[in-house]
Amino acid sequence: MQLMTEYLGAAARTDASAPAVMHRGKIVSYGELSSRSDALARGLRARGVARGDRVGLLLNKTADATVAIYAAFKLGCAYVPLNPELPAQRLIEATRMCGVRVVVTSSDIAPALRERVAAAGADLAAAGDLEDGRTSALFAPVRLSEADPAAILTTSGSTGAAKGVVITHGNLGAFVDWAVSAFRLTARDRLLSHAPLQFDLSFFDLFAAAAAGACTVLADDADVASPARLTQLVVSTAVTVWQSVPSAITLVAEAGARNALAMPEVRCVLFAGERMPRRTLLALPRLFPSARYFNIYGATETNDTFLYEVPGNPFDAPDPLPIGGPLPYVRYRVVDDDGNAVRDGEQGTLVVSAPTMMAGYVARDGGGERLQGRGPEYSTRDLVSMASDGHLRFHGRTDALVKTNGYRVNTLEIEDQIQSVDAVEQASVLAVPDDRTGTRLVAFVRLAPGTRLSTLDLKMKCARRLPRHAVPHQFHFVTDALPTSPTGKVDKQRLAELLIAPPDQRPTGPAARNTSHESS
Amino acid sequence: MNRRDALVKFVVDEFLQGDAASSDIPDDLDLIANGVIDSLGLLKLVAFLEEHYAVSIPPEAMVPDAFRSIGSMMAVISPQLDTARQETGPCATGS
Repeated sequence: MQLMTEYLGAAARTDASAPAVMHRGKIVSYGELSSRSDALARGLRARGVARGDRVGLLLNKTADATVAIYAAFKLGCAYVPLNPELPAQRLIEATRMCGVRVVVTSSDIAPALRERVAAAGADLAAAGDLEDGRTSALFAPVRLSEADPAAILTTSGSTGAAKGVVITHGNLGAFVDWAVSAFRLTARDRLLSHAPLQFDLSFFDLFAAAAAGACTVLADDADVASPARLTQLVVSTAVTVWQSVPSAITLVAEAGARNALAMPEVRCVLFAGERMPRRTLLALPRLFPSARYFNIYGATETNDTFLYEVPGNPFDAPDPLPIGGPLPYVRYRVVDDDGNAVRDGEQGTLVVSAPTMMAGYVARDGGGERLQGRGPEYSTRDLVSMASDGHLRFHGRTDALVKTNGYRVNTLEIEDQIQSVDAVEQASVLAVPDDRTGTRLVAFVRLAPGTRLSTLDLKMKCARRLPRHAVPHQFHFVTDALPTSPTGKVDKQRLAELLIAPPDQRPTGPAARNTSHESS
Repeated sequence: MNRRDALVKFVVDEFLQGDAASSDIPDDLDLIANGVIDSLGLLKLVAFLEEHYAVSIPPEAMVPDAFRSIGSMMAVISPQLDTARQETGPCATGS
């Protein structure tokens, strides 16, 4: 196994002029990526950044961000993506939780946001200004080991609080070696980077590409929001490997239904992060006529662990798509509540172990930091069963975590935030399968008598407290207490049935005149 | 119903289950930052604008900032509507 710094060095030595990163028509070659990350590492070291520190990236998705990632690696530091699109409070919490020492940022980030994040205790460093390009200045990179942390990604945890997942260089190395060989990546490939950098899908887009000497084509927020722009980007840069959440493909498929869009250069389409809507699956051959299609299963804590290749004619695929079979580096068991393996065909919880498994979650107590939550196996908390065709099937979650738009969200956390609104007496949030979007978040809300809040009020309040992808799509107002199960918990099964009940049996309340209108 | 009202009504019906008054949605309300619309929602807005106002939104205008608020959407479509009006007379847009 090689580490990412070695792969970068090798790519730069093999062909320094080969494109490493493409963004908005500009190309950064492997030679430039290597020398610019040296220069930034020198500048950061001069500011006192040392091995083991955490480097926050408060950057839009640009080539600068990839330079900063490799600079962090060369210093023996883990990078912490701080997506400027997230609410400021989230970014501040992530900065504190992950022990970020210095934040690399740039002038296109709002000054107020930069200052607020800096107030969380980190130094601010401007990406461009800091690159110390003096070739005379010696830069000796840190000699990394597989155990050195490479990245800390924040994600929703099962308790509702965000967690910092520590990924080591060894974790990355094991993953990219598999990815390069499984998809036969070469220097001729161009990988679309669709996912934001705080999302573990980006490891494939950035690092599997670098390990193969291939090019990463960055799709930024504007590209991702517009199907026309995204398709144009893929076609004009001749992307060969597409990876995204299913909803990104849905977006393109829906737009493509009106204007014919096909991306014939794409040879592999990978989707991960949530349920693939059937309608989108069936649109794949129209969008990507020359590609193979892969449904990939994983978690931030383990990276990819299972894979299912969709038949060339997706009509032949089971509905919903299977999780598939384990990757070569994965060992897994399907267990009952006592941890004993269940028989094939029976449902149980999926537990996995893999060399890609995180070093642990960052935990703080007093001034100290430690890692926790890493055992010999990782419980996915997904209910699965092994089918006779050798492919795992997904049946549901054993906790409140759900995936929407590829993001893991905790419905308990959303409920807490809605319940913290003054007029709200009770709230429950459901993740409802949706054939167009994959998953829809639906909130049931009971207001205090005599109070009035509109859907708009609640969406706005949620948007201030939660990442945008966690804001429920729909609110239903009820007047009676929410139905409970024998254990006293809200009966979500019953709520789900209410959603599909005929209109006259729907929940009613102060906003009852509105609840019969479905937003699809 | 004037141009703006039709758009506000669509936003309220489609993304807020009809549960907001037109006056709750000022022209400069950031619909993305306030959780009203998401990425698939942007697409629905484009489809609505193109169908209802019979305009064509060029790919380069399909950026989130153009659909961030009622005001920004009106700014995207108004030039085309005004041109159409001048060319074909005051009642031709039908709105």
